[in-house]
Amino acid sequence: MSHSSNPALAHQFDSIEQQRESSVLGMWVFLVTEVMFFGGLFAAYMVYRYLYPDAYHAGAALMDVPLGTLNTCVLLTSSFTMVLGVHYAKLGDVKKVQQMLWITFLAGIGFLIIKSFEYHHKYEAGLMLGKLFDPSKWAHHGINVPANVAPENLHLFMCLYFFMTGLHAIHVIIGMGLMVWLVWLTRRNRATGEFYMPVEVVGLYWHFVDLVWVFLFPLFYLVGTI
Amino acid sequence: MGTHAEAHSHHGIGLYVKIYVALLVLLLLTVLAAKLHLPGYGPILLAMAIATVKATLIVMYFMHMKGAGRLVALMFLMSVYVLGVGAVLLFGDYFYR
Repeated sequence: MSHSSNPALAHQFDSIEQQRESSVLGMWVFLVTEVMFFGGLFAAYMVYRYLYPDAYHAGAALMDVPLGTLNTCVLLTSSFTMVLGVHYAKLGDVKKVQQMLWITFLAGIGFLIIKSFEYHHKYEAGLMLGKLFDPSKWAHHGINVPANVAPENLHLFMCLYFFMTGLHAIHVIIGMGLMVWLVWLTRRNRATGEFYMPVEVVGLYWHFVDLVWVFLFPLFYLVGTI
Repeated sequence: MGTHAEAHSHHGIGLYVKIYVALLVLLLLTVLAAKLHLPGYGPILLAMAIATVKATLIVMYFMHMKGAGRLVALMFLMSVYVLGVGAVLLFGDYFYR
């Protein structure tokens, strides 16, 4: 067949367009499983909130809103640079694609650094999980938990917080690895022009990670009342 | 042809900048809305409404759902639908026990 001469086209596809649609559809299938994955955790969060509104309220008051807001800015910015990366990949501008991928990578590092400051503070204050959850440290760190809130219920809040933000952070780390992989591909001219599909697909993943944070941020940091 | 591609790309970037600015404005709005201390379910409903608008902008424009074809849109909506059915069953159980 005539199209077999095109190195960008895998032999099972009729056209670049069909190949592109298949890749995008495949990535969306994966993202649907991710929606269900995080969906289960969001359901746990909702049930917890319904059962223990006072403990939820006390836990939400412990969140660092300025750092959370800053981190949301960082992630939204990285989504913007990622979409520019996809844009330049389509146009075949290797240099600009690499720039955008590195900026996105650095934003990922920035996000994790800010998050680690938050985690470290929780660690110091005795708000980590298991044995590191230590109510005797709270007064020393200016943490006032209302008397009607059982410590084990607040512990449950911290479980949800660390589990959901931690799982999200793992996704960020994986995404950063994918950025490095994409840069490697661009150096071999395998991620730009007709080959731009890997950038588009990783872009979908990165935006999805941003999407999860768009819901995590208000649910943990902002919405304190019942 | 070069100029055409450039003009087209310029338009694309302009759109992305607009979406990015809109997302930052919505972030500011949701942070400010939390300070209003609305009664009852007001805060969470407002926060989720803003988050949904942000998510829609990201899905439609950054993830190129607009123009990705009906199959992709249908599949994504199906996941949201299944999630909704799960939530209704779950809360049906908790609210009425």
